[in-house]
Amino acid sequence: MSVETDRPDIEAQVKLIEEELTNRLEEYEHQRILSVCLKDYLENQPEHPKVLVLPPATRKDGRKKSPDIVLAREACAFLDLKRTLSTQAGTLIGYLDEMQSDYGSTFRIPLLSYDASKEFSPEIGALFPIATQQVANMIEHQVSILLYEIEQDIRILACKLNDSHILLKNTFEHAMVFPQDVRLVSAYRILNSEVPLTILAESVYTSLFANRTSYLGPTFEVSRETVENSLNSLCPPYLCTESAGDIRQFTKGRVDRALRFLHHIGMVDISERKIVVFARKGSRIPELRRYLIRQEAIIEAKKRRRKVTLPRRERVFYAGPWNEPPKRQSKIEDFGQQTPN
Amino acid sequence: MPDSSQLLFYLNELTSRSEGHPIETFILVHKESVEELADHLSELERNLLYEKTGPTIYKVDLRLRKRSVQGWLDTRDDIWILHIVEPRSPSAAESIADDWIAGVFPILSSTRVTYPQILDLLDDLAHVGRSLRIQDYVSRSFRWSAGRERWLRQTTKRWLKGAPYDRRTMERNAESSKELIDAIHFYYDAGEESFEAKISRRGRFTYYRGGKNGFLNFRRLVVEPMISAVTQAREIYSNREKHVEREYVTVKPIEYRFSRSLHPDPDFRKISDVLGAQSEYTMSLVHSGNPYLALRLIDRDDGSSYDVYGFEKRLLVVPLDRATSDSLARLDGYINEVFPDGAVSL
Repeated sequence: MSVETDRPDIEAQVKLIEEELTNRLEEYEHQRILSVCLKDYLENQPEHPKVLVLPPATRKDGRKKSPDIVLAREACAFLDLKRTLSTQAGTLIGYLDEMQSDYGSTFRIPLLSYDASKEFSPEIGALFPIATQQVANMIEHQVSILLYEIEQDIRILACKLNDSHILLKNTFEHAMVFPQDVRLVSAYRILNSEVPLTILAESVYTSLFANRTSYLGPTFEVSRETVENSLNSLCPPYLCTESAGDIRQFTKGRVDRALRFLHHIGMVDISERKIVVFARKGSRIPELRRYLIRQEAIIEAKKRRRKVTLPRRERVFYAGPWNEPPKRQSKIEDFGQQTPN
Repeated sequence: MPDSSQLLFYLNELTSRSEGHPIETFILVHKESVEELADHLSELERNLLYEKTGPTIYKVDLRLRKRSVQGWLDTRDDIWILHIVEPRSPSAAESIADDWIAGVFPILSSTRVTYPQILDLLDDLAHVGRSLRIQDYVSRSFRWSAGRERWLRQTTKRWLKGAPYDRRTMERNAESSKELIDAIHFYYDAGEESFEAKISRRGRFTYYRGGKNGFLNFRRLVVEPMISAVTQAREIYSNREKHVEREYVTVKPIEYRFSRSLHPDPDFRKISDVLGAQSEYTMSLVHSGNPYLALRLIDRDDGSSYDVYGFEKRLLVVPLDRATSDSLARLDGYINEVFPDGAVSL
């Protein structure tokens, strides 16, 4: 049984909540997106990459996502520009090319990997290995001047590091391994933020199928313990902490929360120890994440509605003396207004 | 009690009679014995009636609701070879057997071959025989249907009417029309050992007719090499699950490289729409393709799961906690159909 609503008043609220949840999810995934893009860029540029185009950092509501830093392989500095610079990309590259000739082969500045025809609205960052602290400072300084000249409001988040790994680890605390041996270091805010229910539910659902042992029936059973164990060893699917044992993305409580949600929307049936998964349910859902967000939004909308109506019910039943039946109050009184005499 | 070779001679005899009998051959991978499989099928709308006629040979009747086909099952340790003998309507037999096998996945699954493997095999045949002529070939692609607002699988049959086999031209034609060669119907000329047959990417081999020893030759030159090819491919697809050891995550992705740039629309949209529309998958779109694509895929049939990433010039399939070789081969088949120009690197 999925949660549905055909009431237009709730529907409007559901849409609003859906949008809220989508934004929150995008914010949560932002770090991952940056990291994956960077990794791809690094792996596919035979020469040292210095300039990156990162994914759009503007949310649907127009607000900027908080800028983040992604660092890689070697000691490097990353300039995070607050504003979209797609139109000025050519100018910036030209300028960086000039800098290359100034500083010789140590600082070869390559081209952007993505072109404007793809209609990106990217942020632009410069990434370069730091030969010396002094040179890094100079580059940072000159790029700042350039950006001032092209009237961009920027904030530079350069990390001037001489020794890559130790300092980076100290700075960002958590390491990321993705996928094999390429080690990226990232500001790992995810661990400290609340994991969106959709992501939990999606991962738990994946894990339930991964632990499937019977194939032909319409349902299959997985023990709660199996799911918890497999998710504990998982960490997040793409991130891994230095102390994986201590920091668990999928704690028992989070797994429970996800299972209750999946149970509520009819995708699983939970009992104390076992989880029964309806294997055929959801086969016609074209996009699971969107579906889960929608279901969560409906539940949330109903919950919010209940919160609004709850105080009125309390007043009616508990306000009067116990030996007298409660008097029915007018609707106007319910909202705390004076009745006309 | 007939053994494997006696069955082959029997089928050869059957096919060399004047009226001829087309035979459909499937290479299957199994997880259970014939007896166990027949027991489990009671849960589905399928039945398997069998009679053991030799140490490794079963005479079988595959039943799907009111339809059925008969054949012979040659069971080896790791794979089964199913011969469907249906003189009345070969195309109906093909369809029933296909549906029957698809419904028992992952306990029994048909193996897949890639189109380069098919063309390599034809290259070899062209070297050995007197001549190799192509009757027709079928190619597949996904086209956007504006009316139905979705990607539809399109099958195109091209008639070459016995033109000599020319790999380059076929590949060039498929590339220019952005299609994937799916099946090739050919005639192999070698006197008494001549045969006319069709090879399909979905691990299905049809013998139509031939000389006195045509079927034996077909089995030797087509089926047996394909068995070794699919066995090798299965090894490549197996053991690709993600491993977590201490803080290190090890993954073994499959990569598809492109000489052109992939764009959010239509490329990334196409792959996510096509995969999302398949009933065997549950898909979650993490990031829709600006500038890259990220989606999570669960194979509902056997629990395999994947992260799929699309970048400017490559597509990456990262198997997660569970990834069986059969499921991975199936996913590879879909990706090949959507992007026939992607060069796979395993």
